[in-house]
Amino acid sequence: MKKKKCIAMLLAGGQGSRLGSLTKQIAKPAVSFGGKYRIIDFSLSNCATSHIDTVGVLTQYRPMMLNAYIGNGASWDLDGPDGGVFILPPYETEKGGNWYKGTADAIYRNLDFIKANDPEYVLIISGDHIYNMDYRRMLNTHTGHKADLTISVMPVPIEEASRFGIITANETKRIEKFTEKPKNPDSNLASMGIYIFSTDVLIDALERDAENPDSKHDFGMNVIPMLLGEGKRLFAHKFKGYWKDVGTIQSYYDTNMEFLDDENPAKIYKKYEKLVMTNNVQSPAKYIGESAKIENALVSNGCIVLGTVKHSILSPGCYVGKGAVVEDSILLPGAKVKDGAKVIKTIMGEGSVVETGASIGTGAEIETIGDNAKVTAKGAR
Amino acid sequence: MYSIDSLVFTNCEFEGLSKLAGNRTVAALPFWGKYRMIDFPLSNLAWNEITTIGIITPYKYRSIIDHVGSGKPWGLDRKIGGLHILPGTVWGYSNANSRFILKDIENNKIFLDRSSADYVLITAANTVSAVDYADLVKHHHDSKADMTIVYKVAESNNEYMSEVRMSKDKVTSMHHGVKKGQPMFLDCFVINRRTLYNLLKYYKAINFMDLFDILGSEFNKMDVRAYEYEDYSYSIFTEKQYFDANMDLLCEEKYAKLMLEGRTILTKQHDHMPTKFVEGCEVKRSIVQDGSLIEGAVENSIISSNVIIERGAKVTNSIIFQGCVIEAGAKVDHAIIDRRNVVNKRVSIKGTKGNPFVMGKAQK
Repeated sequence: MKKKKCIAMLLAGGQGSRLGSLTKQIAKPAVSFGGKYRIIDFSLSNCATSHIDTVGVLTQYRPMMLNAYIGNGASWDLDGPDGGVFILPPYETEKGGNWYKGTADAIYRNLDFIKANDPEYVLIISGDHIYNMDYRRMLNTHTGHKADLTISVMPVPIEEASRFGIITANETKRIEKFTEKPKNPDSNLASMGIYIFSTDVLIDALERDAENPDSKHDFGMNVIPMLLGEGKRLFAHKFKGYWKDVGTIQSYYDTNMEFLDDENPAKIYKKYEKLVMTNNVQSPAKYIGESAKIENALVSNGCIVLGTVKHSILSPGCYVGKGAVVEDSILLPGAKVKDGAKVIKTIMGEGSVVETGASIGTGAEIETIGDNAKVTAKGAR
Repeated sequence: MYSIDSLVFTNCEFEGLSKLAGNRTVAALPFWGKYRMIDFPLSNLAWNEITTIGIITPYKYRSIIDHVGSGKPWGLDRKIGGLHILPGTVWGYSNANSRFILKDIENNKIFLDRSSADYVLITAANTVSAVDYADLVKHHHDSKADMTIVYKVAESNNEYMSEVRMSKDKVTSMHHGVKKGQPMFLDCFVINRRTLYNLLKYYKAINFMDLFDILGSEFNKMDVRAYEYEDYSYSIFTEKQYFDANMDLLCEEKYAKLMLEGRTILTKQHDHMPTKFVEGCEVKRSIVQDGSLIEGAVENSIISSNVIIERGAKVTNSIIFQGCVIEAGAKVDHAIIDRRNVVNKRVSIKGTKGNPFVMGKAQK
């Protein structure tokens, strides 16, 4: 087989605790997004469209749904003869077993996987961002600079910069400073958590980091500052496309709604349609009933809409009964709003139900209903 | 214990569907906004765990091969059994309304030779139904008959289907054309693999004929039984029938009954965006497939994927195929608009319930 140029390691083990009830039962990368997608679709589709055929997915927190969803990777053309998707959970050794302690530790514990594939470069990405990116461009930046590590960055508003890992680079894009969540940022270039390492540099850095008892084994906090301190060649790759972090309920809600509110819907269609691949459920085309009223909404297949839906996103298999009203809301797969019920500015979890005549949401704060939870007319869950 | 293989016949051509099924066989005709006709027998076989399937392809086989691919959506890309593409003869192209040409089986006899199945379930692909194949085969097995054919009591007169005449539980003859209330052959049957061999051998000289044309002189020699199916079915030979069968799904109760009974109809997967319903659109009593953009008015219609209905356009009582654009101010009523057509601004297209307007596939 041909020597591999680049493989991807996809970090998908985090809990995503800031997403509250949405990640109570499933890992964040497996959370439904934008109607018929799940968050990890975007990273996996990027791999597919960037011709990366080998992806290791590091899982830890509640992996059942995620593993089932990824399957053999065929939905993202990642079931080729010379590659594929490999689920990499924590495992036991003769010295005992441990959970992944940090992002760097997770990769360190799977160096065997990297060595077995023996690529020239390793792309490290996370499974919880919504973006379109051709990693081949970033790889060109990396090889062009003969870099040891390339970090993808994008400008953020300076007042928000203290939420990110902030990078200061010189005119040649060489990184001079990297600060995790600085109080007084001196740059607005935020790290997107996307790294390309030359493989030997990665292996060496992780092996040394693993032996450091003071390290938290995190790329942003430990490994990158260590390499920078040693004078290694670290470069920034400036990304100009669409990239969103959906780590909080507010950003998850807002990013979903961006899909809906785009001023030129036909454009956003063409933009995403060819690019985002997904493991579809087989469901029939949606049915819009006699008395339905449906405005400014994304509605997926398998839905039955008999009531009113305004400014909302419906995932596959949702039901909106007669006289029911759904406004400014996101219904995750299989959510049901029964006859006469009212759902305002609410994220309804998978398989959740708002019973006949019940109501939730005032329009002020974003409400959430957990997966498979029920809201009855008395308000109990 | 017994085992079953299946043959799905798609090698047939119907004059009544010339505009829609001219370049694609009826089996590859889009249906219910998302499916193709062949999805129904293939899904039915999948539900019943029948996993060795031969598809007899038509002379113009591009569209059907494109759709079934390796058979993955139906669980047919497998090491044991799986999907076999069997080339059909050119006769299907010229013999109007013939469904089961003997020569098609003869040419692909190797499929039967390599099989160790006791029975072969044979079906055409122009009928939508949910016949319980497992029960049908069990019924056939228990009866020890040579062949069991599926029938349904006709709900209306139908000149294209065949009437089944029976004496007690045995079939005595079959006749073209069926009247309301008579038993109607549903183009689906089970036959012993050995019996099929014998028929092929005996009728070798005239194997350009349809199996059911030569059976006329066999009913008194063979043990042919009938199996009644009482649920929903629709057989499609004409554009009118195609239109009616699609429109049938627009009834709320029927949609729920046909679509959500835990028996998902399996089809080739596409990664379309969810449908976008823009502010100001008016959609009522319609089926809309993912990937479409609805800005105008849609009522009593079936909209396939990647369709754009522009603001001010109005689509009523119609079926719009994949990739069409209905431009601002255009009106479409009682029509079937085949793939990739653009209905220009302010154009009005109007058919009637009894005679829907059909616009063939765009030539581009």
